[in-house]
Amino acid sequence: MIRVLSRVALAAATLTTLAVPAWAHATLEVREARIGASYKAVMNIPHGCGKEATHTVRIQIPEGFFAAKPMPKPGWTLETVTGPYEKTYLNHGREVTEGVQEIVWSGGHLPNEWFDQFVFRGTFADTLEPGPFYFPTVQECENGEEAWIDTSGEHGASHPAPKLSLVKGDNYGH
Amino acid sequence: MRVLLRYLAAAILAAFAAGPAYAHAVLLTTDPVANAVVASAPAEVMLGFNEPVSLLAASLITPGGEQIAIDPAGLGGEYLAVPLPGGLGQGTHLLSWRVASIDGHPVGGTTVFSVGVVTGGIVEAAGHPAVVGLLLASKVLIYLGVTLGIGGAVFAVASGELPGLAARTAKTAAFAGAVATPVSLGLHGVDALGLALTGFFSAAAWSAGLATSYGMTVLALLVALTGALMSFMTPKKSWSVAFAVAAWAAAAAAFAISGHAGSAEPQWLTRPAVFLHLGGIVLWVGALVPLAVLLLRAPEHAVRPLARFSAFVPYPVAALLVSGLALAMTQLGPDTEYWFSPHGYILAAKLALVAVLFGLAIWNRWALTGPALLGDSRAARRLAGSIVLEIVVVIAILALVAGWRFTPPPRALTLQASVPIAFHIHTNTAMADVAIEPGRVGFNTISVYLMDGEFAPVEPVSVVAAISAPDRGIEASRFEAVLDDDGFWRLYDVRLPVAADWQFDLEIRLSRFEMVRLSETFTLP
Repeated sequence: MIRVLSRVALAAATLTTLAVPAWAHATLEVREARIGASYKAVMNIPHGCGKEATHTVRIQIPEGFFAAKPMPKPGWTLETVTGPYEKTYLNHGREVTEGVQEIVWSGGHLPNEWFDQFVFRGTFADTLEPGPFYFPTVQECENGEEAWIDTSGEHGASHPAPKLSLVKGDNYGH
Repeated sequence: MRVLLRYLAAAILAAFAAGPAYAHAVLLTTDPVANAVVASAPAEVMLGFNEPVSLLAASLITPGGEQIAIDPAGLGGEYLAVPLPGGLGQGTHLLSWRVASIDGHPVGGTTVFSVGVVTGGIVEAAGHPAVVGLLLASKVLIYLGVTLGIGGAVFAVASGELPGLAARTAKTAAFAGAVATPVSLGLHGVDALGLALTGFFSAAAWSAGLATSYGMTVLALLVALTGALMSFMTPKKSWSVAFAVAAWAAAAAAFAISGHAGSAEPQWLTRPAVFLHLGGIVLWVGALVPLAVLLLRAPEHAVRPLARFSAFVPYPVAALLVSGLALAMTQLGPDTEYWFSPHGYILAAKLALVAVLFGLAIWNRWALTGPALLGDSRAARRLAGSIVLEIVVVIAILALVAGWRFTPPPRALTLQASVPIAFHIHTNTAMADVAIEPGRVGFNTISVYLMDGEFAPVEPVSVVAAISAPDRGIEASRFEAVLDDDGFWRLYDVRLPVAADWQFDLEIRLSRFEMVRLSETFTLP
């Protein structure tokens, strides 16, 4: 009996620990956010392209995540691509119609053997629906890229876009 | 118990410790390099990854389409030396592999290399030479039995007499044909099953032979050849005539039942055409040996048969020509590109020999027959010599025609080529029209036309296709599509080595951050 139980435990433990490839993909540190609330995103970049070092990280800021601000990173050149939003959002009573749509950290050097985090913040519009929200992210290396842009949500996708779950919550702002 | 706990601890530790460090395994190098053509079969294929992996499964698909499983036990590390089975033949091989990196995420792929030559896919299984040779020989014996044996019987009843040597020749030919007929059935089965010659003694070969349309042909041929022998042996003239006519009709019908020509469309044309063709040949060729013997041995007895023959022979020859023309046209098909095939070459050689034959026949008719009928003995001897030459040419033609058994006619090649695989993949965000040409085992070109959900064309950054055969354990090969001027994305030289259900996955990169995946399964016949 004990033997059976311990075998089951072994199998379960092995499976659960192995089944969470937490660091294999580009992922967000915090995987849940409230609709209508601000959110600090920490993007984990776990490895390079094959064996190559990453020199550029691009993160798309999709519609609905407004007033986005990136955090500068020593050793990396920070740029943003801005443009008009499809909708108008209210930021502390003020109307916001345009803002950051892409954040680019470039000119860096992140070897495959190391990992790093890239940080930005912003606010989820209160018009968003509960469910998954993706931040498509592309790593660029000397001879290739790792494009974490698959938003199909399919289990076992080789390059899923970093994702969090939006949940309903009080619009308490900050 | 303690052991188990230790395993448990080790597993958890390993998982936690290993987790952060490793990502998806990426294949970086192979040796031989992808799509390499190597002089001799390698003993192993080296796969180099960006991180340590362990081999979960591997199999080798040979040029013949055979799949050989490779024991993955004990293979692990950053470099995998996957051992290959010995005795690999020439041609293109596929090594399908599946590895797991330490995060447990399995990754698969297919590596292609060729030994000596690049082959598209399964090489059409060439029959065993001994089987092919014997089958050819049996066919020639059958043809001789039909033409000389049955034709001789028909000549005997038509002319009322047959010189001894000609009668012996006809009987021998009919008898040899009657023996060769069932033997050819067994050989036909052996060849259909791809067996070695020893398979001749297996029940499977015979039932396979009988199951094909050739089984009916064999029965009809046996009836025909036996009828010819009966015709010679029956003392009663009326019976003899009945047997000879029945034998002639059965023989002509036998070839209309099966074979490339009788099975071609439209059958209302081809089957009667084959019947007329064979019937004509038997009447013409069957007269040649008796005439030659008569002219050489007893020229004075040759006059009446020769006169009747030369009056009658234009009719079967006309039937022969018209039906032959019709059959050649249907067999060649409309696509001239496929005329240059083994079948076409045999036809060309046959036509050349037929031209020689007709040249001889015309010379005989216009220059020699008249004087010979008037009792010119030199002309009679020349005519006999010329007829012997005709017989030799006829035998050569029959040997050539026996080779058709092994060559698909051009119309069949055209037919195969004209049915590419096409399908439509439809999702809300993107659609694709996909055509796979020629849609056969071997090299294929895949054309993809992309549209968005509203049928408007899209202009993606890149299109990558992954093609796998999960049922056959063939892991995905990835192909980068190129955009052609006509707006189609194309994958060239896609090697589909076996007939199977293939999984076709398209990864369409619409922009830097946007990607759509379309998937479909298609069946390769």
